[in-house]
Amino acid sequence: MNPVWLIAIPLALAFVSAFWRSVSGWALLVAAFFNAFAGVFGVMFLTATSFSIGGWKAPYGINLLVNDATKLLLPVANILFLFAVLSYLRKWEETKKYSVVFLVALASLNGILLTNDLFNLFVFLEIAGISAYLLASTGEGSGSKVASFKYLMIGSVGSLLYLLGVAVLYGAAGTLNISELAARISSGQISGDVTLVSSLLIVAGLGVESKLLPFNGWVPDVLTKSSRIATLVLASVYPLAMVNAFSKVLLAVGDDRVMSLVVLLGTATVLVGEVLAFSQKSLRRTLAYSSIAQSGLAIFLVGIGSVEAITGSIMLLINNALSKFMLFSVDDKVIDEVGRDDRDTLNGFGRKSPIVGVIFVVSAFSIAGMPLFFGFRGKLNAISASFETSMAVPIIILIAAAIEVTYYVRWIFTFFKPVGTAQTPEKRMVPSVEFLAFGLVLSTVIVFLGVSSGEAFMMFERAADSLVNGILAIGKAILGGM
Amino acid sequence: MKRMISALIALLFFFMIVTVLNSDSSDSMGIPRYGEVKLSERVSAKYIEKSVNGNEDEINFGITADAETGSANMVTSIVVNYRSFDTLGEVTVLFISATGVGLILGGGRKRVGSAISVSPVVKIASRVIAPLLMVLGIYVFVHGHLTPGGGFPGGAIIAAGFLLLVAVDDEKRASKGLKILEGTMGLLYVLIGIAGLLISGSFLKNFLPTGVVGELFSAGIIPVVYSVIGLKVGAELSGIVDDFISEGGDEA
Repeated sequence: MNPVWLIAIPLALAFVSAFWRSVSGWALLVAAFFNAFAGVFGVMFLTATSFSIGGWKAPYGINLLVNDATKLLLPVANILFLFAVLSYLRKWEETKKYSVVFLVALASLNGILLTNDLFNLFVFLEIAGISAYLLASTGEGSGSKVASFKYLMIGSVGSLLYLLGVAVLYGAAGTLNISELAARISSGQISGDVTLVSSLLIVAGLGVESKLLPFNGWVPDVLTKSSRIATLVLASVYPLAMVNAFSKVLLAVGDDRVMSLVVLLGTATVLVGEVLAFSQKSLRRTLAYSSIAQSGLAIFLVGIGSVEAITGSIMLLINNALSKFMLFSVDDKVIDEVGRDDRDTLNGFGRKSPIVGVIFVVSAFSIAGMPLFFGFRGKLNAISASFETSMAVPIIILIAAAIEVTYYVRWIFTFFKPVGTAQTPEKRMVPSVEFLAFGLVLSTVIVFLGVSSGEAFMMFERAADSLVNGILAIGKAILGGM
Repeated sequence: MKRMISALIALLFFFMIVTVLNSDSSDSMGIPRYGEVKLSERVSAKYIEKSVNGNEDEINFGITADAETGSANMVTSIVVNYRSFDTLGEVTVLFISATGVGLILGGGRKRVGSAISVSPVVKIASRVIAPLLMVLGIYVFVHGHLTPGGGFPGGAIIAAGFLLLVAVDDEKRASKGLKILEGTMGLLYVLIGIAGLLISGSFLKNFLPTGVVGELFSAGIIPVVYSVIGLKVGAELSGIVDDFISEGGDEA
């Protein structure tokens, strides 16, 4: 199957539902189901790697690349998107209004994961960005509009900087194909000044969407004030695509000097994110700051750039997507039941609904990196890979991890406190079917990946290898054949 | 403090631009000096010679038949053929922005009136000019593969005609058909891509004969795609104008 279907189907349905309002909800469902199935069954068994668009061969036309990393991330992203859509079938009237935006977002996220062309990536980043601004503005009240406006401002400057970086690279190398650029840069054909300036601009540009430190001021407000289905998509599916774009581009065209800056910024992001998450009083804000910290973890590893580091980065990225999906769903559940999600409101909540409690514990432990959960292995990889740089980095990461464990354990204690407060619901609660199904499936996956060994883990390593060495190898083949 | 920081950033930016512009040397590629580009090392050389698929023959205006892309306008051949996927993306950028304007401003039922009264002479004159503008817009996108222009400018000119009509007439609103036109044209672009995939095995690949370079009926799918884009952009921008002049009331 040609992976371009993953982009074409949601896009075509978006155009249809733009004028045919009554089918728009169905269109969203059809596209989400199609992409989830095609993402799993169509892409996983592909043997070909490069798919040209328009029939022009690689450096001249745009091509889509299916490597081991895409084979891993595409199914996860599309399935999580489907889960997010299905979680809100009960509030379908609200969701339906924005189905065009969701459809376009779905198409662009698949595009970001697949494309192997710098300018095409810019176009998809732009589409994904605009959809994200619109999704961010869906909340009630003016708070979400303000948050969305702030996001719009930072985001547009970011994508302009990225475009400028790409322009500089194109001016020097005369090509936009990521593989070919990687090969030209690694063989020393491009002047060091050009790669330095372009990678600085690209780091600043992509840093906005991937929540790197000085560029992430939009995150907490957007993740706490937009509507809940939008938050679910923005917090779980978006980071997968955005951080993947970051690592794909910078591993290929990044300058070594800038890569050490990325390590620095990433580590600072982790530390600041964890400290701020620690001091939050509402669960949703804690999760938002924790998202920043998790992105930082995945990004500082990109700065290190070894296969081991990228393995850790991909594992943490997927772990964050799966766990944040569950944590935000639990938070939605809490707000549905009691209206707020402050620390006092949550006292004893887990005892009223043990299954919600268990799902919360599994995902919180996995994010915090407890042994037996998936996140632990990601963090283990991260720390052992970071010894390559200097002693300071692993120590800071360990301190941040300790802070993270502390606040997540504190939230879990609050959840299971025997004494409730006035807001705690009286009776036992029965969560909805879809919540249970998705929560249990994702928890099982997390625990399975946490305890399984050998073969199941090789796929992360292969994915990392395809990002670090695979893209470059394709580029060398292109350069040789020119 | 803020000023200091922005001054520092501006200085850094200036420094960066200067380094980059000075980076070309004999042993490594930087930004080339004016007139000293080695085209043979760049992808653009093959776009100009229409030789991506290895055809070495010279291309002559009005004579060469069945050339790659077949478009006399080089820029168009890149935008709508070699890199058509990007253009599909750009069309989507405009589409989602227009949708966003509609969602946030919400197509109200009432029309915002203007404070100034327009003289009848201007009104009648603009009713003459607006159709002419629209014809010009259609010309610009139909001729996009031969002369400078194309779908985006053509569509913008059409929307300018609509803006003129709106500016002089307090009652004027966009018809509901615009939304349908916008959606079907977007759908058509994707369907042309899918047709390419099904007929010749690659998304957005040209599946029509490319004809003689420089003739109106040449360049395969390029004129079709550009007409689709032109109509879509025209409908979209007119829709945005309409969203801006509507106020209050129920969903239309």
